[in-house]
Amino acid sequence: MSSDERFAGRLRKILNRQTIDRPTREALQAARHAALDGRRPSGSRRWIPATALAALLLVFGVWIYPQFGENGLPRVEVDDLVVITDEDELEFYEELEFFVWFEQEQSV
Amino acid sequence: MDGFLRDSEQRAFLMAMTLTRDRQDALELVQESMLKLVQHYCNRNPDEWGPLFNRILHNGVRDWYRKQKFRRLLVNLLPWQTGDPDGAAVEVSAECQALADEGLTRVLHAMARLPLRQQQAFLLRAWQELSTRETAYALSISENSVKTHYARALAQLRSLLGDESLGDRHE
Repeated sequence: MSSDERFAGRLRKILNRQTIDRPTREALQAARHAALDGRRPSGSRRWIPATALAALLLVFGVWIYPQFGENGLPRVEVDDLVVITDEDELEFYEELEFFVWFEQEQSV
Repeated sequence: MDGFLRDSEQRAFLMAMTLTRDRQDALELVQESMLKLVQHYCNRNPDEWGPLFNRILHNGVRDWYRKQKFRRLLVNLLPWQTGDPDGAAVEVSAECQALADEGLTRVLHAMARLPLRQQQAFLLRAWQELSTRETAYALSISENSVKTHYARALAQLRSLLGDESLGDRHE
């Protein structure tokens, strides 16, 4: 007998010490009867991944997707578009409040 | 068929429990495997039921592992993380086992560190004492792959557990 076989034999003896408690034996018996009757396991916990995925999609749909346009880039508001496409320098818009105030002062 | 399942169910459960470390999932895997065997192979020669049952069960375990990976991926993506449920399961399992049998706990802990295929090859070859050919059929892989997985599993377990003080000398 090789050393691998001896080692495997020792592990087999240890694994054979596993026992099954009574509730599990009864659950197995019920599972067997259900299988023979063609019934599936109830498996409520199998819905956990699907629920998590649905939650993730909901978060994406409600919070993240509306921030993106059809081409995958962040959605641009109409006001922003006017600023971007205008021939005036961007600094003009940065100082817009000042110019409004200045114009009001001039008119007074 | 009832007699075959009665004789096989406890070992199948222990196999599934060792691989999943989750009682409920192990029970469901065994019941699913029983159901598939009954539905699809009831009319086969009873000599074929054992290999078929092993194959169905181990395919189920493999699917379970894939789903667990996907689940972990989702959990990591979610903003509200509630800790590692799998890690907790291992701890609870280990605690229960420790009360009963320290040597067994060490072996199960060491096995949990092996890749799935190595665990399966080891359990089928060493524990269930199937031949290389039977193991290859159960795992849907080649005989050479079984030999490789089994040899690696033994080497890894030996390095993790050592040859001595496995807790099997005081029976």
